[in-house]
Amino acid sequence: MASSGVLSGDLSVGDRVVPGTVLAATAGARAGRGTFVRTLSQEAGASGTEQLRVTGSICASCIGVIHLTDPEPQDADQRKIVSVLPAKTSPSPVTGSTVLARVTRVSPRQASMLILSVDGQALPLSHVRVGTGAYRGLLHPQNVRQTERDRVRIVETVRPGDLVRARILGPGDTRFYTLSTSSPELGVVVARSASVRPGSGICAASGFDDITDSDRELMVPVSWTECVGVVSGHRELRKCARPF
Amino acid sequence: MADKRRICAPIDTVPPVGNPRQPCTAASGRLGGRDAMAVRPIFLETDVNPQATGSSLLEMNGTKVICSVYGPRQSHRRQPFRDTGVIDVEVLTSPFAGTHRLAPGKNAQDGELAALVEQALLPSLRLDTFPKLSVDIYIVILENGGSVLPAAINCATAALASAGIPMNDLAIACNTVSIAASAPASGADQSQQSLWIDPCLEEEASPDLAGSMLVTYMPTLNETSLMISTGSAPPTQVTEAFHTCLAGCLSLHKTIVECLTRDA
Repeated sequence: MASSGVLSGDLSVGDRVVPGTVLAATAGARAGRGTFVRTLSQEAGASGTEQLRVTGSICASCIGVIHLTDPEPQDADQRKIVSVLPAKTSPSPVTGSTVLARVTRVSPRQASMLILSVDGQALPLSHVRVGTGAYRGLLHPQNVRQTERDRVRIVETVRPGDLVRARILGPGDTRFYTLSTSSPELGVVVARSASVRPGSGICAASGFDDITDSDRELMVPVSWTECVGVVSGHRELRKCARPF
Repeated sequence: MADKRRICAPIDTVPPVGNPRQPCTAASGRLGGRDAMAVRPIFLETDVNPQATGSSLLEMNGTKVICSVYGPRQSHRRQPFRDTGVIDVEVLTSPFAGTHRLAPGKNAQDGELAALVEQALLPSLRLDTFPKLSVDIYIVILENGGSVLPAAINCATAALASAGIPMNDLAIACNTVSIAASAPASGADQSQQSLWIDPCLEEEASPDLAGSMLVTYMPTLNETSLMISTGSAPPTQVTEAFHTCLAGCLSLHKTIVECLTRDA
């Protein structure tokens, strides 16, 4: 029971708990991930600028293992942080998270994308197939870059088939999140050329009717405004992400 | 004229076995001599459906329910923008779930069960943690051996917990039936009624049934999310039935917590 001065009852760090289990009181600890505070009473802070002081119990909100972490030394609030970490986490997009998305449609006013991974975690198949609950986002011209935001032409920044790293600005509406690429590390990661891959055997004689994304040439960023084809060297305009 | 082309059945035939399930009466007592306050042992296993975000299989002797949870994900229904999440519950009773075959597909009772399960589960979920997304819950009743609504609710709670959906508490359901011990004598219109917790199918079909009570309870929050009471009884009996259900919920909660924390 080493650190259980903070944890209530006979719980200790490393115990598996279920939702609703009371972990600690707010007097001695702060709520971290996987927990919530059940408010017993609230009172205003001493001065007008102080936040509401909430007294209550910290309860688990998912099945997981209890963790107790120390706060940062420079933190004003020196209570330990109680969190419950589940074995598996299914990522869901929230404002501020970084996503990888594939561009599906581009129009002069917006580019619509299908979100494939959130914060580095790939979404399971049930969350990616359109029609069964896929996350989709919209990129508007004013959110593409930081400078000259009103003079952006979307067709020179992203194209259908590109893989884009973006940040979620907001929940948007029911169907689409609002995305932004206005940061040096955001933008096109890998692009698909407007021209076909050399050596793919597709030419004017064979017809251009059913070209898929994989027939088009892969392009990589060379500067923040240009991508170059890996085989042909053909250049196209994109708003590119700074490669890591 | 005797038919010589085939071997004929004997003239006297009887059906192989009549329906051996006779409804329980006050006189016959509970099926199998079960104690009035005894809840059936449960078998609960989670992560039975690898495709779903969370899933669970719950068996209480003759009642078997399986539940799959997908989400939080974008809702497939056209809905106005909400800053809290929604849940979408679908219940399906299998054609082989009862003694008589049901037509495949959803029937009217499934819709009613789904609405009740949704009502029971909503207060236990932290919907503001997944705005504009929806959690889809699919419940399939594999076998109906009585107390199917509490089994569906408990199964869905376990599946939601195994899916990692943020919850306030586990919503546990339990029901009782009230059996009138004897025909009411004149002047004593409410004779001794006995309460049987977690009834099976034969007990729910009893001709002496005077009423029933179902309670969905969240132990840590000490709140009830669903209460269904049928029949007529004096207030003392209704209160007694309610407290009996609560006691059943608490004992089920202990067992379900054990199952959920044991599954690694």
